[in-house]
Amino acid sequence: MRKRKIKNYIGLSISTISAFIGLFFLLWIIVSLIEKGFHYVNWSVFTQNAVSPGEEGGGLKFAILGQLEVVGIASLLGIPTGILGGIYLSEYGKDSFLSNVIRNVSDAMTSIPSIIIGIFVYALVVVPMGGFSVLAGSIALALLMIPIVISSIDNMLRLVPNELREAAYALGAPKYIVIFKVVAKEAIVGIVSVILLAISRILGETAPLLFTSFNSNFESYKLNKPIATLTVTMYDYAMGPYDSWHHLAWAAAIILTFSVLLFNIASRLFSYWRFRR
Amino acid sequence: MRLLDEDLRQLRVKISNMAQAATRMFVYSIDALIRKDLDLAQKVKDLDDEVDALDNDIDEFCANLIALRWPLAEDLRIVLSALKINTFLERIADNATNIAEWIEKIDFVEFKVDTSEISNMKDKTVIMLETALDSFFSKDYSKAITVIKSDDYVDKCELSIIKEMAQITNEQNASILTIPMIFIARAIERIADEATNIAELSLYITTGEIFKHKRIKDL
Amino acid sequence: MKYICKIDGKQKIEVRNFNFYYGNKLALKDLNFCIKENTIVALIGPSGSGKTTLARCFNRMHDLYPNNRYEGEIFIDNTNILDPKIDLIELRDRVGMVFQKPTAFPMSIFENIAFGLKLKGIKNKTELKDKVEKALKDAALWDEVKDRLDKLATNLSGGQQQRLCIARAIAVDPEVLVFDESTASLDPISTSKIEDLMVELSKKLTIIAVTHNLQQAARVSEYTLFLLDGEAIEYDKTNIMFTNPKDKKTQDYIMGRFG
Repeated sequence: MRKRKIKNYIGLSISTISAFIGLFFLLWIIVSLIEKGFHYVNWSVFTQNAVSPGEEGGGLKFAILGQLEVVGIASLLGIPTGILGGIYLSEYGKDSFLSNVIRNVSDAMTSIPSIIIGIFVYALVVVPMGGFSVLAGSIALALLMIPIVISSIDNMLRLVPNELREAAYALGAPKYIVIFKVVAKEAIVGIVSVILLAISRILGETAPLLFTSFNSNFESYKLNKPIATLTVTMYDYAMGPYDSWHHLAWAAAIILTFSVLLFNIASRLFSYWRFRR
Repeated sequence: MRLLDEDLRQLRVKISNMAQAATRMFVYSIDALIRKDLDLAQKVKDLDDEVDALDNDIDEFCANLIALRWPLAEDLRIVLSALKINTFLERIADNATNIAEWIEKIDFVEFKVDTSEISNMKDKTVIMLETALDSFFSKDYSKAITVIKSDDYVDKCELSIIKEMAQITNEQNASILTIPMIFIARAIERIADEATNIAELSLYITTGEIFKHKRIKDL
Repeated sequence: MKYICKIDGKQKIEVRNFNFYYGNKLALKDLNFCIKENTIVALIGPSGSGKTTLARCFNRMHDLYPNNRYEGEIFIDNTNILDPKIDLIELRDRVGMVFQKPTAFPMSIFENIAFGLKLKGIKNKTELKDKVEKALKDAALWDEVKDRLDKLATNLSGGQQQRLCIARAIAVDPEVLVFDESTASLDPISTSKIEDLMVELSKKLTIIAVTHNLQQAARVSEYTLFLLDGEAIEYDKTNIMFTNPKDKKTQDYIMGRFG
């Protein structure tokens, strides 16, 4: 009896310590970030554009808006595709050979290093188009998103008990109504969480953008032209020689980190709210 | 083994005990008549209490069985029949008690009637009773039919005894002595009827059909 | 089983020379019987005897999954519902089903009941309201939910949800209603309420009730069909089945000697 208690205590202690170690590093990063960059986050960061290298001041307005544009278009491309793909797997393909192949490939793709996706899109989109572009960047991010969304949606929908579907069919519902009005509604919490998490995943990507939307000093939001994004800009400025750039890089880091955090929290809050209801 | 099987086994034991007691009462009662043994007659009357107690016990047991075990199909018919056989056995005991009471009214000093007929009637009735009970416990269809068919014979015995007693009354003016005999014969005939009832119950258990008001020729 | 249609009333459903296959496995063999209109028929039998399989044939739920095959005919009134040309949506309008577990949709109580109605194309708000109210009243649920029709149906208790499912099924005015062990997961009081409901509903529609609870079959049904290993062993009036069944296998099952 005592032996069991001791083992229990040891196990619990190790788990707790590990948790604290993880938390510790996370907090360290966040605290350092805030420490280093907080005073650089001011209103002008959001409202001013980048200035010539070496000059004081300047802001990240273009980079922030660029990030939003690329991520936004990527979401428009990736999320519906992923959702429809997930629906196909769960409701149509079910356990067929093809579906299982798609599932396995999709699962594998979630672990592909994002830089490879970047190079892939470079070859397929940037080269034929003759230059870097917002479109290429969005496509790259979408390709990153899709496997995650497909997988998660597939799993979410499969969790919906079959009796619910049968009950809808038994009332004379055609398949699309069963899927969209019953199954999807039941899984809505999961679906929204997946969407939010997928967005937060691509929000922090830098490598694929390097090869696709690259960077730009000229404020342009055209789809076929390169664009500045927060992540790439942060990379750029951090590696640059100017102090003003470094300050902005810290500010960018904080903005990015907290944006990602925000999405995660939003996703959790949503499920909590829905669950309570 | 179902829970119900154990209960049915206990029920069978209880009915068997009551049947034995009632049969014993009947046999003693006629033996008391033949041997002119008033002590035996008294004993018969004393046994009636025992039979009453067994009667109540079986009723209560069956009520519990129905409430707690929800017997169906054959099990249900067995329990319902148990409740009925209760009544029949109780009436047999009552008839035996009546016989005992009539015996006490006979003046054995004066009485010199031939009891061989009534003894024969009693034997046949005892056989009917035992066969009926046997068919009840072993669910034997043919034995039940035999009992039902024997009822006629016992009726004839009763008629015969009545005629004999009537004749004696006329010849010897011995009504005080002969009337009890007639009543005793009647009581035996009633016991035979109860035996028939028991046999009909046995048929009900095996076939699920109710035979109460059927005639022999319909069997 | 030899064909027997000895019911004392108008016939609603007839099952003729019916076999059912799950892939290559013969699950229901040679079924021949008929069901009286506006009555309750109980399907009883041990686990795996095919009662749920049979119940799901009446609204062709098996069509949802691959490799199932029907052989023979099932007539509702005079239409063979196993005909491939039959419109399944129309069939499921005539034959409703209530499942073992309560399956309230994740929407309001009103939306749940209106689900089937909207599928039929009923859009008029007043008409919807009236039909929803009637269905809830017929399902003995109206009083309990009339003040919260717009609240989420999944917050109701198990017994209430099941009555909701019943209301949902009867809202579209089916002719036949199949209950597949619908009270199996409920407490005795809810079960009792639903049994009363079944008896009341059977005045206007034909009910087929799968149950593993013999007492329930005894309480509600007029006829009982006993299935064993996919075959119909006995089909008779419930009171006869339970006091004097003709087949020894039926007797053994009812008396609890197996299954």
